[in-house]
Amino acid sequence: MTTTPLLTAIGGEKARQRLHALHPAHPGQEAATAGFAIALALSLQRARDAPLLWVQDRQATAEAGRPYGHGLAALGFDPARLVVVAVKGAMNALAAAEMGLEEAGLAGVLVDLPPRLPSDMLRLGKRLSLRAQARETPCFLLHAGREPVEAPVATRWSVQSGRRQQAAGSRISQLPDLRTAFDLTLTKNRFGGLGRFSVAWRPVASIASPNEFNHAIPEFVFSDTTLSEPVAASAANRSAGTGAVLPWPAAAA
Amino acid sequence: MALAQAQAMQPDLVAHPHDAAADARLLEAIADWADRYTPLVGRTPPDGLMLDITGAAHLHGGEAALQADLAARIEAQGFSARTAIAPTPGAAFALARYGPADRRGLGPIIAPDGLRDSLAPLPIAGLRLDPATVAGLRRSGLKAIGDLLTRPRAPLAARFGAMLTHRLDQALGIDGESISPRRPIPPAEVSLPLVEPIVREEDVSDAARRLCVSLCALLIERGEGARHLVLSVSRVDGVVRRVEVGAAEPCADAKALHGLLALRLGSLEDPLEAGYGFDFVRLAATVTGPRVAEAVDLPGAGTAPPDDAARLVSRLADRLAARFGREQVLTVAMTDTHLPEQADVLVARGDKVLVARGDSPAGSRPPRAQLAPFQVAFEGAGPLRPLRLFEPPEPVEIMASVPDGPPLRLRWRRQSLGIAAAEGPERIAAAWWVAGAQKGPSDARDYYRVVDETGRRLWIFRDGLFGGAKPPRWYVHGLFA
Repeated sequence: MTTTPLLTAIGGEKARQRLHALHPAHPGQEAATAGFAIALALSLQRARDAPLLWVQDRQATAEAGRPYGHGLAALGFDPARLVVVAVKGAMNALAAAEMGLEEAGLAGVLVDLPPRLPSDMLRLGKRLSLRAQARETPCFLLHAGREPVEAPVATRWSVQSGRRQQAAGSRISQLPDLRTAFDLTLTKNRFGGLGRFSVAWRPVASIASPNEFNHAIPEFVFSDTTLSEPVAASAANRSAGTGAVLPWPAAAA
Repeated sequence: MALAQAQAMQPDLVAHPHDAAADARLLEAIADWADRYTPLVGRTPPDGLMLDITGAAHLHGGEAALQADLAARIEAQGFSARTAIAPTPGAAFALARYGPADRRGLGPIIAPDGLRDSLAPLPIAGLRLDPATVAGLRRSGLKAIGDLLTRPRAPLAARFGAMLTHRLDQALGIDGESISPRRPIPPAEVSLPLVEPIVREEDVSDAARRLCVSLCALLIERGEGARHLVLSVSRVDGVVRRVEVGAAEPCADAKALHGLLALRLGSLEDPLEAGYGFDFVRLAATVTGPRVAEAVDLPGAGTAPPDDAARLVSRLADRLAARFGREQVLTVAMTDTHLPEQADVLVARGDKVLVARGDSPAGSRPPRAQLAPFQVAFEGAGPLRPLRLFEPPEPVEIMASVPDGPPLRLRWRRQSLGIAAAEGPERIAAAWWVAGAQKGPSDARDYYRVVDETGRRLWIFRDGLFGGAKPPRWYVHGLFA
């Protein structure tokens, strides 16, 4: 595992045995959400050929599209490592994820959850979380609904495709930078601070030949991380003991 | 007797039309049940079953005990049946229908040397001939099978056809005849008759576990593994339920197979109705294959061999398939075609990859799933193909400054947004070199990678050309990460 600022912020190795919730920042960012989940799984994996289970609810697939092999390869993930299971409904999706987490040696389990979630999501999430911990396999809950997933997750992300390059070249005549990058908002983090990240997902070695056909899939890592922390830490994020209540304005005393 | 006559005699008579299909279904169900005596169960429509009990009778205490047991169980289910046991299917057919029988329908058990004598008094209809031949024989005064046995064969064959002598020979065992079974005979099977019917789910699972152990012992002896298992449980009242599971690799591990069966039993859409209990459980390996030799540790090393990824995937896929169905567990298969929606297909694990329709005519060359290169982006360009693909592509309204120009504004899913950047076009034409490949209205698509105002990265295409027969239409085909 290559340590990068992003992974350090979410606890490094510890993030491997946890449940993570990822939400698209806007409708239509479902691919960015899945792409970031795969990037995280690849960064946390222990073996380069470890398979990945992608549980897809049918409704979620209809709205966000199915995984596409060439797109996966372009993110540095060999599609031959992917096992997809198509299920109907959140309960089945969570059951399939649980079956995946019972096996040791997966790179991760991705769950495309439908917008409607069961009422006892907290309990079901706890089960997944315990299994993830036991098998040291990260589980990523992808949810595009209005409400966040009520589950005991270690991190909660709001994800969209990276936009900083587009701001510089907004004219259509210029070639856009379509390299993979993510703008992330970390809204819950059990291992550290919250904040906004902007990361690129780049191949480790530059691909020298401008040949679009490659049989070998390059290895990718997070790079160019910029982090902006919030001005004030949220209540949940303050470390215990340092919080002193100060009167304001101080001069009034 | 006609219905009108019967109703005239008995005015309160209730009449139902004959439902041949329902009768056939019932006969099927009884045949399923009869599976407990032998795997070779054939039908003799419209109302009979033929069981080949060669080599199976001793398992039930001999032929007489088997016949009595079958008659008693059938009667307990509310049916009346006539049974007979004979050395040939033809003789058994004739004896069961026209032979002597006691009050319970038990017919004779005929040894090979008594075959001729026992057939002789039976009517000719017992020979399974067509009605015209039977009528012709009766007109000639030949009423019993014995009448035919004493006559010269050549004139009989000349007058009534070769079928008559053939049927006669079949009944006597001169011509061979085999029963065509309803289901293929499984390569390996084990069964568990239960003295006391079982009701609880755990007991069924335990019975399945015991059967798995004995089946695996049988398979290991042959160096094989099971790829498909069928567990049949028979209820006391004759209803048989079959539960099927598959394994990606030939497997002879009783624990793993039982795990799959238990998963399947736990996730049945209509659970097993125990009723008065199950009294017979059978496990058959319907598909087997040679097992791949496993490398095991030398004694004393004490460490389990590392689980390789392939084995992990097949174990996981088997378990998921047992729970959700085999066709729901998919893998990405890459095919050698330039058409984006066919270049990569999600197929059920273990299925052969179909040759892409548009790219090469079926059978012309094998699919080169392993050779297909990935379209990975080179430095600076970003991915050329989206991470998620819409199937089918979603229609979108596009505005461009000039007809052939790059898109400027899009309206998709009730949202109208400006396009911040566009890259393209990448023209992908239909497979024009294959006759009949151009099923769609157009033969070329222009693909663009675009970024809209909100930062979404879309893969859109224009289907058709300006100036063609139909105006071009735009679609969103995928989303980039």
